[in-house]
Amino acid sequence: MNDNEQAAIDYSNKIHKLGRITTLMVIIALVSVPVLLGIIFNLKVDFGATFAAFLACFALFGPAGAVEFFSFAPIFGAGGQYLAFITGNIQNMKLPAAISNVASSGYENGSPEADVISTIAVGVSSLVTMAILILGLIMGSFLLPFLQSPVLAPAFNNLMPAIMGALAIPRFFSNPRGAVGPCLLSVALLLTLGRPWYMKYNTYLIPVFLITAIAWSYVLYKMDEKKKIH
Amino acid sequence: MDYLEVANSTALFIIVVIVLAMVAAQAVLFIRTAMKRGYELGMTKESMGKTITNSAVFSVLPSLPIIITLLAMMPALGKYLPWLRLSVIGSAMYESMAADTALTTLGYTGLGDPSVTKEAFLSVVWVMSLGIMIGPVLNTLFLKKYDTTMKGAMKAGGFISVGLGSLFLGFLAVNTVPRLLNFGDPVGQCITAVSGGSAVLLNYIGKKAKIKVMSEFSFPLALIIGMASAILLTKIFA
Repeated sequence: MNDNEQAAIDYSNKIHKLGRITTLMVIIALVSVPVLLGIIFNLKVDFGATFAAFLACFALFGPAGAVEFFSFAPIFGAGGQYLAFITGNIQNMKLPAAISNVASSGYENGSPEADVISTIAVGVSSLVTMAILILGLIMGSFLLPFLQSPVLAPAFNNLMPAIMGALAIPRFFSNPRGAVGPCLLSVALLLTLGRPWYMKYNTYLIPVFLITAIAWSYVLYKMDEKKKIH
Repeated sequence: MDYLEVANSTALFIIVVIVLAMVAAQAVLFIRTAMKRGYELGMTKESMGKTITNSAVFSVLPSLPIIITLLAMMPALGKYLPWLRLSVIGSAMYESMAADTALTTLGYTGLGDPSVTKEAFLSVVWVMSLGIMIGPVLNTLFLKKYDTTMKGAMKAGGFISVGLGSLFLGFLAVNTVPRLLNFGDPVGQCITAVSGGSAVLLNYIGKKAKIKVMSEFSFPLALIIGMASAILLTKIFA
């Protein structure tokens, strides 16, 4: 094994050790919030009712969380994944931050350099959101009229179309062959499943699209191999 | 609404500050570790600095509407719980829905029900904390194995490494194509096209005219143009 390979293994081990330890610490810290409140204020919860409420919530969001774990790890890389799942806002902030920065860096997706870029992008995005929320807490009543202004409302109400357009269209332009397979799948599913179903179960469709992206790249790979032979 | 004594207590404030400090420290540690690895790989301070600036600039705009959710949740849940919950794990949508689902399951009308007790508030804190914990738990238990498997597949080469590198196109397609084809929302369609077209143009012009800022920051700049166009397009289509 050469030095570069050993360095890659060392970094991977370091990131996973850091990720597991810090994630576990944050999980414990988050669970300790209700535990400490119960102790400090001498409160006892109705376990049955709380568990039922947890199940209702988990039924809505748990499966989607599992799907996101499998779907986004290959895109984020390990460092970005550990961070993104702690601070949330994954599809509307962390993924766009990671994807756009890797794309503009020029490094190949999945390369060690792309991993570094993704981790930095997600980490910075997390810190910025935390800072903005502190600002919101301190200056909320001053900022609210601006944020809720009817003039600016269309801008904030259309954040996702603006983010996805700015993120996706340049990527489709620079790799139209690679994009056409997943895009055609999207059209087919919209026509067969209907928009309301598609948008409601959007997160569950993501793995289908990721598998399609891989399958489509196989088709293109085989086509390119045939061209090389001829 | 005596549960607000707990919700607005100094004790909760201190706990929340400690938790958020831990989350911030985690992000800083990861950034530092990644940058150290970047230097090992021969990446420059400039290229990683560009990522920091780009990510920071981009993240401001999508974070601003979260303040609206923060302020909307505070009258019902106190000052500190929404601040904690919106800074970690879930999104604005999850936190509002989780709190409301928890309260209605416990027999209340929902967020803002004045009869909520301190014990019920604590139940809501439990539910909001645990309801979306699956992602970090799966990361702790399985991410290393999953990541090692994928890295092995990438190393094997062939179409798998190309395929794994193209996965993000799948994610982009699932979220973007429906917006481009949503003829029921022409404003959304146009915004998607305008921000996308702007990103392509900014990148092209920036590279041709050698205006680095334009090409390197094409994504956040295009996002701003897209959002600005939303204001104009809404007036046109209204």
